[in-house]
Amino acid sequence: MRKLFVMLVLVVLVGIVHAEKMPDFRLPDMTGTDVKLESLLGKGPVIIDFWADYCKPCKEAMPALNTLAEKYEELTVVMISIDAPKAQSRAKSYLKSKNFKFVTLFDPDKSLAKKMNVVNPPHSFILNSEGEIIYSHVGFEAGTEKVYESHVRKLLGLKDEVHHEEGKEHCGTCEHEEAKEK
Amino acid sequence: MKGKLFLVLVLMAVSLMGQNTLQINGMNEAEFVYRTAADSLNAYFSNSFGFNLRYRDFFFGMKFISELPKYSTEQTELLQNLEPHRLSVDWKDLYAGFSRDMFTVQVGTTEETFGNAIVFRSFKDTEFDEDHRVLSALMRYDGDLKLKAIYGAINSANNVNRYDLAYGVDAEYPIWRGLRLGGSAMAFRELTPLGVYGYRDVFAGRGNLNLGDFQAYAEYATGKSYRQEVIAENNISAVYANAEYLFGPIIVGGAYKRYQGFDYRLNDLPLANYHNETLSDALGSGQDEEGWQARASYTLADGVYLHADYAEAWDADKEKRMNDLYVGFDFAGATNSYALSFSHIEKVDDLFRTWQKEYYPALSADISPFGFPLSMQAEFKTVEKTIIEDDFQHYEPLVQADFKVDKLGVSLGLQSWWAEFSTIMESKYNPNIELKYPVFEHSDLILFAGKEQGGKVCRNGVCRYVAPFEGIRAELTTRF
Repeated sequence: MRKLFVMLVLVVLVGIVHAEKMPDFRLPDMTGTDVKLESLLGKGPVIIDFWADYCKPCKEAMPALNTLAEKYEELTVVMISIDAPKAQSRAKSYLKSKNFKFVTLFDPDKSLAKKMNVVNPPHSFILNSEGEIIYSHVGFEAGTEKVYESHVRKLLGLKDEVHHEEGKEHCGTCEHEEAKEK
Repeated sequence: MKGKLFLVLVLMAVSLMGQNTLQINGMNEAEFVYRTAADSLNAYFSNSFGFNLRYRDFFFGMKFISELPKYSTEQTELLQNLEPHRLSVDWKDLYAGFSRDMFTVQVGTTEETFGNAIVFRSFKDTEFDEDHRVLSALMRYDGDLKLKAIYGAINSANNVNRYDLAYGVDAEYPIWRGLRLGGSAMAFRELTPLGVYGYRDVFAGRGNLNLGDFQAYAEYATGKSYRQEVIAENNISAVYANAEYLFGPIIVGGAYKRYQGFDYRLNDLPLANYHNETLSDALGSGQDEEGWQARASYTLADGVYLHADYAEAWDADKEKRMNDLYVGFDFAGATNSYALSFSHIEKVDDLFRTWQKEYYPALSADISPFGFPLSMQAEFKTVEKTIIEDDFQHYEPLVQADFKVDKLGVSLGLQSWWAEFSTIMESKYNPNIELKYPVFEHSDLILFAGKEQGGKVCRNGVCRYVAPFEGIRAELTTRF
């Protein structure tokens, strides 16, 4: 039994040093058409947010994530509902009424959620354009969106917005530099 | 044998470590609990460790949970009764599979749904803490044509160490742009208390139409229960339809259901009402019920929404009836947001001479007074019941405030139970506090102290289902 435990710890420790990739998935969207992970990659960073209709913080996160999606053209925000099939019509209605700029997918059997150890929503992952997980976070509180934005800007090669504004008066060419970075 | 198999798998994993295609992730949740309720076991420790491994087209996952007796989720038992027979120390999740192109094979603990879960759903019910997952072999093909075939077993509800069986196929195909048609065939073999198998065969057809602004779903299932102990033969059927139309800022929708003899473990029927309420607490959902639902939502302006939802249901003899109402108003501004809602659920059972009604206005607000983010919610539930000739009434007010001090998340809650307003001072109060702190990048420490009634709770930005509890709880969650 002790050997097993040691082996298990070894596996886990060595596993940690590898950059984790998002597992490939194929999940249905609002219309029932399957969307694959690879179709979401390549354009830029991707925020994947697991949510449920009963989850108030998940709904609080949506306007903030939508603001990010509208602000950064290269960013793709994917909302994955883990609602049970019987609650899906409510989740769909909610999203339709808000008209957010999201890719909306459904994982009622938690096939992807289980692989990502998603238990309690909201649970968010930020991926680079190659599908590597750069950051993950459980929960949503006021200010979390700023952390997400900071990661998105890093992935887009942009300076952090706050620092940039602070240094603006000392840097007449900053806007030009940012444009070049883009 | 299990240990050897596990050792082989671990050795395989270690030998593959040099390959950059091997991916491992997992989670460990350690929990220390001190209950103040009087029982024989006040303090205990539980742990859940799970990991997933992926190598090229293979995947594998396990979850070990060691827990001491669970708290009962039954409202009548609540805090006073631990259930020693529910003690569990075991692998709860064990699955392996292979996925290439559009073909997937998976064996082990399976969560799977056919259609809208009317005919078949293998799942873990977190709300009621019930495990309806089958151990199965599952094959699926996910091209334009979607095909699934499953053969599974689940522990019998009537016989210890024996299994019920479920097997069948499901297919779906887009026959026209926006229109998908599908069908399922399932066979269930359930052990009766006498140890013989009762049979249930179910066949279903469904259609899913999506024309952009208009969406509709309809499913019809029929079947037969036979070789049962009590009823020699019984025809069963289910109809469910749901449609929604969006024109401009208004969405209108409706649903209809009719179920006869469709109450079994391996399905999860859509209930066609906002609160997902069953027709009667004394009747299995799907046994005998019919109902409709109408709903509408209106975007008054950017960030201002109105939502209304009303449903009714009844049984064949109209002895059991229920209605369900929800009206909600949401305002989402740049820094502040508010949500106001009213819920009303009423159930009547003429046969058992019971009537019950509960209604509650709820208010939640996310505001930033002086730049300090604060999330607040308040609810005032009123429950009225009449059982035969006796009337009962009580109130369940709830207030909660969540805020952050640097990285420390703080949630303060107070829930109560008043028989009447005059007894406010002598009534039961459930105060609680939860602190959440990210001790490391992937580790959160959560401390809870106080009392809670259980159910779905959202605190410190996270939602989950909890059992009724009184005492102190410390949890350390680590994701890797």
